[in-house]
Amino acid sequence: MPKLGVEICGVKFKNPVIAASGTFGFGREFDALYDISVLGGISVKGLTLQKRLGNPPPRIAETKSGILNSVGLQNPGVDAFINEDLPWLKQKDLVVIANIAGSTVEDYVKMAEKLAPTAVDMLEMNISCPNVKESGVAFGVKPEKIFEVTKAVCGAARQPVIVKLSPNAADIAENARAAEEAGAQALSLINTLTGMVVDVYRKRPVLFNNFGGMSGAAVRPIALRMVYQAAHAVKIPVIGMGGITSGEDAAAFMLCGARAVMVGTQNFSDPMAMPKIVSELHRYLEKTGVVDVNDIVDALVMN
Amino acid sequence: MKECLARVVDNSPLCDTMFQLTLRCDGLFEDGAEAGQFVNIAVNNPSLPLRRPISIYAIDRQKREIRLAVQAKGEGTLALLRSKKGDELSLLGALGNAFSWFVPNNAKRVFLVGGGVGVAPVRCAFDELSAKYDCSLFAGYRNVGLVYGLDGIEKERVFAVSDDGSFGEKALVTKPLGEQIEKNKPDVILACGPAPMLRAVSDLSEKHGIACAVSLEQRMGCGLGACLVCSCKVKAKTPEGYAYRRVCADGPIFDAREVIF
Repeated sequence: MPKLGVEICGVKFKNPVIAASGTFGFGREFDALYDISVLGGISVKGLTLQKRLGNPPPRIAETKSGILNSVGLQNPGVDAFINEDLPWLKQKDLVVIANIAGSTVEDYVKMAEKLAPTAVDMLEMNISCPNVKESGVAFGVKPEKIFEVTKAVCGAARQPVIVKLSPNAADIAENARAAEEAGAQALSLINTLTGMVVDVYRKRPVLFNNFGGMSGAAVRPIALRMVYQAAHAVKIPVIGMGGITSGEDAAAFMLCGARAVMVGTQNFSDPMAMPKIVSELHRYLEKTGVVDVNDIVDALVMN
Repeated sequence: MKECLARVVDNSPLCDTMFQLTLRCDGLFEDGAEAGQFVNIAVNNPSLPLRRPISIYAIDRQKREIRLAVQAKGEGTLALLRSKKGDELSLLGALGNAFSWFVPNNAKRVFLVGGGVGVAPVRCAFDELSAKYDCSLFAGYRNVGLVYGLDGIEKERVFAVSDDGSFGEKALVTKPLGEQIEKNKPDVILACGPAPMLRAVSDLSEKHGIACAVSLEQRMGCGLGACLVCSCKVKAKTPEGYAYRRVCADGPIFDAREVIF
């Protein structure tokens, strides 16, 4: 029986499959379909200091093997999460990662302070949401900005801090190093790629917000390349994501250097996707004669 | 609510642009299905990651079958159009709330109003609610080629019109609806169709002091209420004066008075 357990910043995950932020809410809806305790962890819907209503619809558009979303960080605010959703989540046996997004450095710091005394296991800094004007691009793509906001949050946080990197960047390795130098204990990537879908008959973009964040299988090759580059630019652990649809896809990210993976869009195609990915990853290890999933991390042999 | 496999029992044309899929799906009936609810159906094309949310057109609990009325519009629904008897399709359902939730306990007369593709769920509601209530169906179509969903209903209970007069009177569905409200005021109006139609039905209901519920449509992601993609605007005591609710999980049917059209 191959072992699936992984450890990131001292936090133990029963398996390396984590629900990606934004596709899984706070876990309750999917828990109606299966016990979410079978997952390694959950990164909750992006939280902001104050409640946010989000963007007008349509908020989703489809493209070949991908989707674009522009939800605009609709969420009940960090306090409501702590009071109403976290107690429920902590009854479940999985790592709880609070994904936080702000429009100023102070917002991030305040959220890290509010979350410090809670049972949240890790923080994930969403510095790259493409759907919110003030946040998104401002922090996520320039190394000096990444350094500034990461350093501030790491100073205030009690839990390990994961910085979620944007692929909409000139040099992913440079951004990864900026986060590491600022004190990030882990990285996750990739967030969505900014894109657009056009309705040629209406002569308008499909999304109300015009642009949206692209995800799904179509982005996987870009994600794999970036995860490989980021993982080889830093010493801190990397969590890989971008278009994972199967256990073999998860293995590909781990071979590129990811210690764990996040699954997002596939939850829409198949609501049972993540439990399946866990068992497929298990089967992949058996098939390849690997006894411990950690043994495939960074085991890629480049040509 | 479950993810389960459905077997295609029949796939046949319904009108010029629509077809009906009859699906045997035991899993769906474990938790039941009601008129107004929908299923999120995988289209068997891996390059299309999103399932298609489609409202239930007919329910046969004995045979454990549902029928879906589907408009062949884009790639996803065209993939469904190509499905053949015996094919298996993954369904997530039954999702959302039901029309029956909006019928007051003491109601006697129910008017059901559908426009185009939106006739499907209200026809389902007509079939399901007729045993308990005095139901009438109002349907509007663009033209005669797009007519469906009226078979097997007594003539005096159907009020159908078209935009071009090629079927019934040339009128909007609110015309016969308004006339019948004057004659036989219903206790509740249940509607599904394009936004301008829903707005007009909602206004008419309000004018006559009749309870009204509308079934809304929006592009969806998970269908479960987790992803917050299929939002609709409702009146709320927020600083903005509105809030977004999830069409998939809070709806698809809403009290018309709450909705900001």
